[in-house]
Amino acid sequence: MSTDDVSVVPEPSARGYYGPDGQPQFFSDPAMDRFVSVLVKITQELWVVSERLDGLERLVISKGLVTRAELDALGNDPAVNAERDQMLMAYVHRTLAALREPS
Amino acid sequence: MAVQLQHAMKPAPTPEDQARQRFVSGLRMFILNDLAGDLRRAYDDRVLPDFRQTHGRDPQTGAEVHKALRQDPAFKTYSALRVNAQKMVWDSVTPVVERERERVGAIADDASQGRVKTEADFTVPRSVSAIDVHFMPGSYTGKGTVEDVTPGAVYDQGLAVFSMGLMGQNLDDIGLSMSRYISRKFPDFRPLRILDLGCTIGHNTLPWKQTYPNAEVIGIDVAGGLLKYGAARASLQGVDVQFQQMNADQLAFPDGHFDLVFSSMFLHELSLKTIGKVFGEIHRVLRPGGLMLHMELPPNTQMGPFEGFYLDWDCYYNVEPFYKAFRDQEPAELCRKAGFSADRYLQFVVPSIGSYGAQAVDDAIAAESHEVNRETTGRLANGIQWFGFGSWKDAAQ
Repeated sequence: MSTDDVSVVPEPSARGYYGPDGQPQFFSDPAMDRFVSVLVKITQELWVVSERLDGLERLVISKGLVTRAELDALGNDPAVNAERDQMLMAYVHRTLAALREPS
Repeated sequence: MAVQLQHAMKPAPTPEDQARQRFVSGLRMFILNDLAGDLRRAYDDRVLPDFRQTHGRDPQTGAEVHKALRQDPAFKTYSALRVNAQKMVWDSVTPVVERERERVGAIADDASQGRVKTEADFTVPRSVSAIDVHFMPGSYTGKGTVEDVTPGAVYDQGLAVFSMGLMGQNLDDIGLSMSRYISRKFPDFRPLRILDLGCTIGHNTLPWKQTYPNAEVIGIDVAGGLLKYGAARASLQGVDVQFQQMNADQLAFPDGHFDLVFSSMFLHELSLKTIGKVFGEIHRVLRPGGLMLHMELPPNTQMGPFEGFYLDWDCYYNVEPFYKAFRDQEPAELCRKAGFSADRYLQFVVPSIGSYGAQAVDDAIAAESHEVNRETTGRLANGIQWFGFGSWKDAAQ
């Protein structure tokens, strides 16, 4: 069978379009291209959680364990809200730690 | 939007896999419709006026458009997201395929029996082996032997995520749209031997058998694992098609053997030198009066510089190194150089049968001319229309 000794890069002038890792680079700082990648993957994972949670809620409602109204009413319960406030602050400190100045 | 394959080798994704895949399809919808619209507006509102001011004229080529666009934030955003979404297509299906390797392998072993011929010592051309074509890990051949159908499963499932439903539930919209167009436009043409070049898993090969049930239909490709997967896929769907591992630039068929030689989304993955050889081989294996037909990306010669570059983006940023060189050719000229008569050339734009319905295809048949320079021609986004070209081989004197 024949072999094809062709070049597999589009054109020599395209070299500047790729970063040090050989991947396409669009922003002046290659770290930004990597950052976009992380951001879009986190968005994806957040969707995964949303879709799974939606599945869980549909199931518990269809099994008659709770009603949609009971699930929605949780936000009106002061004890639940107090606990959620604490959970949120721990979450914020954990996820945004990199934004703090070194102490 | 998200396609769920329905044949017996269909995957069993976990809820997480399914959610990730749905996200990637949705992300691509957003990029290819909404961000693509933003990109066009940025071009009209910022990039084009700046270019005119600097140069005193409009951009003449896609290369000029590319250079000017690269500085614009809308282009950076569109492009960075599109590269990531492309890689995420494969990331979203690879774990499923790995997990089901044995089950799918066993089904394929059985269902492909007697329907596929692969070669143990086949040399895969560098255009496939030296790069991960459109970021597909391991390219079309994978890292295993020709018996390993994993690349076929990756391609099938990846295409289902990639296509966002625009290639149909069986990923066969191109084949269905093209075969309907040809069969209705040329009712007296009734091919009995049909060859599909670079057919991968045969998803666009099957519609030809469905359109012409009396025809013997053969699909060839350089990737043996894809063909074996495709043969099983065809068999499980009850469509009688044969598959053979073969390079399209060296066809192992006698002169004048076929009535129709077809390809879809194939030529843009070949070097110009190889395209020349392939066209020569097609001309040889066609019978007098037979038809060569290619579904492809529309040519730059018939599009504006922005529309042309929009498609050529893949050449630079989606591991499609041959894309632009092919699109820079005049299709009629490629046919003429291979020995087809200039007055036997044909080209058309056919509406996607899945998006627009069969009546729209029939309306396109009745139309005299087909506008190529539209933002829907060849663009995988809402309202996709497929570009086709080819030539009839001169009848015997």
